[in-house]
Amino acid sequence: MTARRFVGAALLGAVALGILCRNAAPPVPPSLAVSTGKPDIYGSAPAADVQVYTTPAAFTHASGAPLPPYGEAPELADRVARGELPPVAARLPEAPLVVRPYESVGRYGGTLRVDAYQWRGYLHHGLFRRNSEGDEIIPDLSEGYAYSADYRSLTIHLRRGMRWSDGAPFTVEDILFVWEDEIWNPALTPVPPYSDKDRPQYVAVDDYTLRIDFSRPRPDWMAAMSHPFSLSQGVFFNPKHHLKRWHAAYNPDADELARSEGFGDWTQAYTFHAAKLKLEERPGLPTLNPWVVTAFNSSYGMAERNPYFSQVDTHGNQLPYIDRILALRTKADQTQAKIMQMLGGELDHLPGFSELSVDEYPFLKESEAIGGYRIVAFPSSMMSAMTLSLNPLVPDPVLRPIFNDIRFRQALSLAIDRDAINEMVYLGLGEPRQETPLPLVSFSRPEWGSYLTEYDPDRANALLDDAGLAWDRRRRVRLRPDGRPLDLLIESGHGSQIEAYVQELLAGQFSRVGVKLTMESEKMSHHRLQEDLFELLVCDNGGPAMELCFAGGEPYFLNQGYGWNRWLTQWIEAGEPPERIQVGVEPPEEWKRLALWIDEARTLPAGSPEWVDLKQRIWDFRSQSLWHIGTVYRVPIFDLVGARVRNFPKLPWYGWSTGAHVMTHPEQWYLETPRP
Amino acid sequence: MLMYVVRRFAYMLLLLWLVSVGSFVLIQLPPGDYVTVLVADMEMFQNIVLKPEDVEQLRRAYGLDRPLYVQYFAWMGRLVRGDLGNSIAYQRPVLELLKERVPMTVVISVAAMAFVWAMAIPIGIYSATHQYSLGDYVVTVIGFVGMAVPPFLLALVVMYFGFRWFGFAPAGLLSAEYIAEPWSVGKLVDLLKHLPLPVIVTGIAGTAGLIRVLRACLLDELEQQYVVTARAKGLSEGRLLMKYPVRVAVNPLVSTIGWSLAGIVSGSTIISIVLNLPTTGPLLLDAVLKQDMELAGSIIMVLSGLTVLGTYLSDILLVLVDPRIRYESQT
Repeated sequence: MTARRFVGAALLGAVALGILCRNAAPPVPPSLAVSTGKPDIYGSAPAADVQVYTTPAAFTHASGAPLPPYGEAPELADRVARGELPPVAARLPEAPLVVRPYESVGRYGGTLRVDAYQWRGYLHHGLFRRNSEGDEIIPDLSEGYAYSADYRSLTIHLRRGMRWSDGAPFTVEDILFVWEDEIWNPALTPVPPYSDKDRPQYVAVDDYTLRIDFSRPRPDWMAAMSHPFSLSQGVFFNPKHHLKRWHAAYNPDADELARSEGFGDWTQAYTFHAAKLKLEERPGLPTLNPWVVTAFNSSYGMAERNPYFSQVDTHGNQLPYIDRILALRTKADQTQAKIMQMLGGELDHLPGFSELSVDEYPFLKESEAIGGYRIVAFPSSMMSAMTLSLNPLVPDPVLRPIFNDIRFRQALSLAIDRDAINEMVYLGLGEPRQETPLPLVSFSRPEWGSYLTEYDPDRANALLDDAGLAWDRRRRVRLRPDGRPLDLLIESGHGSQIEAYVQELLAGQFSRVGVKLTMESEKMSHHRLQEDLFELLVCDNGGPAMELCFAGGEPYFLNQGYGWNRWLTQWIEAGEPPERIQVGVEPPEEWKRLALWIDEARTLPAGSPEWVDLKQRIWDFRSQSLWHIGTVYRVPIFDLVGARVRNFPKLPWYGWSTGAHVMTHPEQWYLETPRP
Repeated sequence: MLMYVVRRFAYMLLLLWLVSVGSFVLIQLPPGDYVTVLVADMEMFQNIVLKPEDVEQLRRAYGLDRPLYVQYFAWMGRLVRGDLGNSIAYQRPVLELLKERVPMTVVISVAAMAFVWAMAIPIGIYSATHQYSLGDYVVTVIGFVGMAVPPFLLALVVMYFGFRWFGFAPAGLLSAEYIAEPWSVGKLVDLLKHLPLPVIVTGIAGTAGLIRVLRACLLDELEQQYVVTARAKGLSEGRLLMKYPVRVAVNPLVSTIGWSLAGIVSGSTIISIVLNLPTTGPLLLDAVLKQDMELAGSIIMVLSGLTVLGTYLSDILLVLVDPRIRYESQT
């Protein structure tokens, strides 16, 4: 038992004690408190989505009314009056994006107090995003895109007159800067992400139009890049006017400047100032986001309104409504302390995504009134809320053939009582499912999700008997071919409480078919995953590949079997013949075929009959391979939203593939009372 | 005497060097490095998949591609010049991070120490002078409970009931509205409102322990003949008690000041995590978990430095104060 788990259990104990003192009822573990019927956790259907119109003209076309003259926050109006800022019309692009707020047009003001752990989700905007159903790519900071008929060239349109938060113009130059001076600069990127034959050409048609010419049809490119974090600052564009002073190509004295700032050479200084993937930790970095980071230390982060933010509401008011965001830095996994801050009214929003687990729901629901917040629940878009993974390259030479026998994996899937997991761990809110694309995905087939999800220990036992795993004399456990008991180490992807619950349930269920589990509830190191050292793994938050086929692209690698992945990368991306590949482990033929299919699917336009056919072949195979065994899906992810926060939308799905809480449009939230 | 001081000083430097090697090795011992942790975090929580070359680039940017001994000497080289190095997780100098954390840590630790003494000394005296009375038993039971209950559990329970009964979650040291503000009367009042819980929780185990120590010492002293003599000479009971046996019995408490120096700066890690206090302890723990070498190593060096220095000073003081102690070489 780790300290954290003990703390969690102790708080649970304290809660139970509290219930006991009040009701004199026996303490009930929260997971069992709701056992009959599904509570209406998602509430009524959303009133109206947060709607965006790419330009004022699009808004006028849709609503029949012209956009009113631009308005702005009072503090900005004061600064304009003092001559410190240009007027709002000069700060906005010629055609700003128009946002129809969720409930109503908001009021300006106030400080939103949040937790710093995922606060980039409040700040972040990319060139594109998905609509909340996830089936459409819509412009955000950009004005749109268009493919050529043969999908060999893609044109991205930026907004004319758009500006960085320091007032400098945002143009194609800022994209080419990253492309030419970061990605194709050998000092910054020693191994470029494209091979020479695959290298696309970036062409600046004019200041606001970028054309990307691919070496082969790439209809998948936009689908894969539609994630709000993909075509975004630090990855796709950077403020060239700000960063070039640290770049050797623009400043011959860049090394000296770097050393005067305490760095070893200019690449280190540049990497620091560009803050790739850590933008929210770099005060003073120009941005296109609604708020600009002004402070970040070991206790808190602070972000203030960006006077140049490029979006307005349907009344013409420049967004965001909220003045500033204060992000308190509590230790990342210290959920109990964060819940306490929420209960004590010290936070205005606590995102549930990868923070609050479903076992906390009863307590949090009960405390809604006293804590001054409301729970907003969304169905998770993960293919499976908790997945059991087997390592195909498990180091134990006796286990490897057992794992690679499909009957063994089928037996494990049949030995899982998914209804019990759903009731005991997920309050009965989820639904049993194999880890396969969700029903709303266009090419999804119903039989994938239900494949071998029934609880049938007899069939599982028969399969294991077939596989040659005989019971020991007293019929307590099955034996491996070398005569030792079949005892598998099951590890934990995050070390979360939920994973530990599921491990315990699985251990009980598998013991009925003679498979013994030894549990390790500490978070498994990344090293063990990458070097293929583990045996079994349960993980409660998908993993990188889980949701991606929802968004369009699909990686050809697995979440495990990294030896195979390394081999496939060489084979497919570098085009090496199999006999010359020195890295990784050569996968079986059917996996090579799968990788070729996935690679081919990338060249077909999404939604075309060939693409659907190929995707279905891929998933016919994947859904039956059972290297990842799904349990339940559509479990709730719930946010705690402070009473004074308005315009917090309900989403049909919530998950990483659509951008997590970027999708809740924090720029159109407002505070009913500016002071808490 | 001078030889002794010099020799001890040399030992101290040697010890600190060994600590630096030891902590460096221990922090590097788990497989992987900060970049491994960062990449795992990005994959697990932000679902960003990095290619191996991206990972190599990160490693180079953080200077983690250099051989271990180079990393060690780079860190050591800065350390001897008084530069604590840079945290790679925070991308800021360690000194700055410590400046943010140490003052609050010292406030809590010193307040907790004052609380311990203010509670333990009177109760200990009472307990010893009223041995086997009802009050003594009550104090003894409370003392044992105080020692037996893990402080972080106590913190959780107090926090829960504080919230249930007063609607006030006393987590942290400052309310959100003050945390980013400059110091003001309002901020000070807010701090004082948050201070009692961490101080009491941190101090309660120490108080219980100290009551026991003081009671035992004082009971020893009370049976000494000089007490009987003083009493025979007609000294009033209160004056007698404070002037002689208590002064002697407090000695063991005073001698602990030297080595509590490091504790004052580090703060109580587990309680700080549970109560979300901005002290040095959680910073160190996080740094060790993330393998943020220079941050973790430098904090450990500062803390060990303080411990060694405290012991060194108290050793020298002992020699000066107590003529019975001689550390001259026997050869």
